[in-house]
Amino acid sequence: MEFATFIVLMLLGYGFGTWAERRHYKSIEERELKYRNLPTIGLKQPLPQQGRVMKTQLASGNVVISVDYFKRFLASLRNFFGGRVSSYETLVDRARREATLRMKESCPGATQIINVRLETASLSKNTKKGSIGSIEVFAYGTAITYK
Amino acid sequence: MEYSGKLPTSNVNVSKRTPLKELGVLLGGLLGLCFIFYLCLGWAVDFSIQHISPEEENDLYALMKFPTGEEGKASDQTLAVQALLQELQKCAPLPYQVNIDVAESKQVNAVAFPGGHILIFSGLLDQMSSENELVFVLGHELGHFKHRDHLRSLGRGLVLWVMSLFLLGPDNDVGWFLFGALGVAERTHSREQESAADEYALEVLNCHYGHVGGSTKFFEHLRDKNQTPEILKYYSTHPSDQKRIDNLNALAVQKNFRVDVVKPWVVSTQ
Repeated sequence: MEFATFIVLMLLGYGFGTWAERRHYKSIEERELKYRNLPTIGLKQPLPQQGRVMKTQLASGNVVISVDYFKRFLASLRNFFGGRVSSYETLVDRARREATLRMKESCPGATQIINVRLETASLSKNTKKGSIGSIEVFAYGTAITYK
Repeated sequence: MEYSGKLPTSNVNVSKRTPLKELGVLLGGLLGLCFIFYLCLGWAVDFSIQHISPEEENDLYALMKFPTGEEGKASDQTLAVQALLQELQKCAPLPYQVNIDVAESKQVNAVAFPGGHILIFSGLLDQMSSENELVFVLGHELGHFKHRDHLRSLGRGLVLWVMSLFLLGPDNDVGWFLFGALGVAERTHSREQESAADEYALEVLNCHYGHVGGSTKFFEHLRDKNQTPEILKYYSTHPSDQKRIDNLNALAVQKNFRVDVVKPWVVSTQ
């Protein structure tokens, strides 16, 4: 019985996880294309720009992405043998790109975002059974709008 | 300078591995390791059991609690079964006293607990068409005691549990998964034990009555009553009923045991 539950959870995790991930990547790629002309830089000084500064504001975006059962199982197997935890790589990648995109979306009309920082946190650090394993990425910077 | 954003053509942050393939490789490796480990463990347990004396075994079992039958005055049926078991122990000498209880339940089963305690369900007694049949069932449970099957499975289970705790932590997905997978292997082991206990029961039957009539009767009932689908058989602890009947018949021929008229089981339920 336990074994059957495990198989069902794995199948559900793999099915829904893959579906959600594919959808998410599609959306990320479309939006990245849309916002590609908004410079997002880590420098504290703005890029040289014609015109007068109209507005500066704090731009921020954050996202929480959860791991699915399949990925978690794969990662705990990795835990045993060691090596790159490739099942979590897409998770972190998606979270980082999504947070950056949300930050860009939070300041419509901005000319550039400077001093961009990314913070990550893992929600629920204890690995007790039943707890949620998810990652949070918070992106923030200063959005400058020129006239 | 006009800024023009360009997107990278490929994602370097994500490995190009297929997750299913990775799962296959890792899982195969882990299960292979566990299987080797499990084989070694089996040998180690079988070896060390020879060095545990019956007294030590008893001390060990004294630490555990097992269910007993109904409290209060024993029924005639219980007394009759107890007397029968007493008789049987002449044929099946064990270093400790075996006792038996009858539990009211529809289940057709009998369970041997470590430390010489047998619990027999009344559903099983109702099924008995002869005393010989009952003697066979009791002999089977005595066989488990004789072969120290409890010690064996206890040993394996314990070492497996401790290893899993050390390697994977108390509450780990992989640990639970392995338990499920190895549980199946553990059951095949206990299927061999069941067959050995059947053989022992046949010897007891022959010793008690001088013939082995009625030995396969019980399994014939079971076979006719429940038809387990083939696919489930790997998961079940006991060998299939037909297989057991065939084994018993072959063994009786091989050992030149006679088959004679069976004695009726007289005590009825009140």
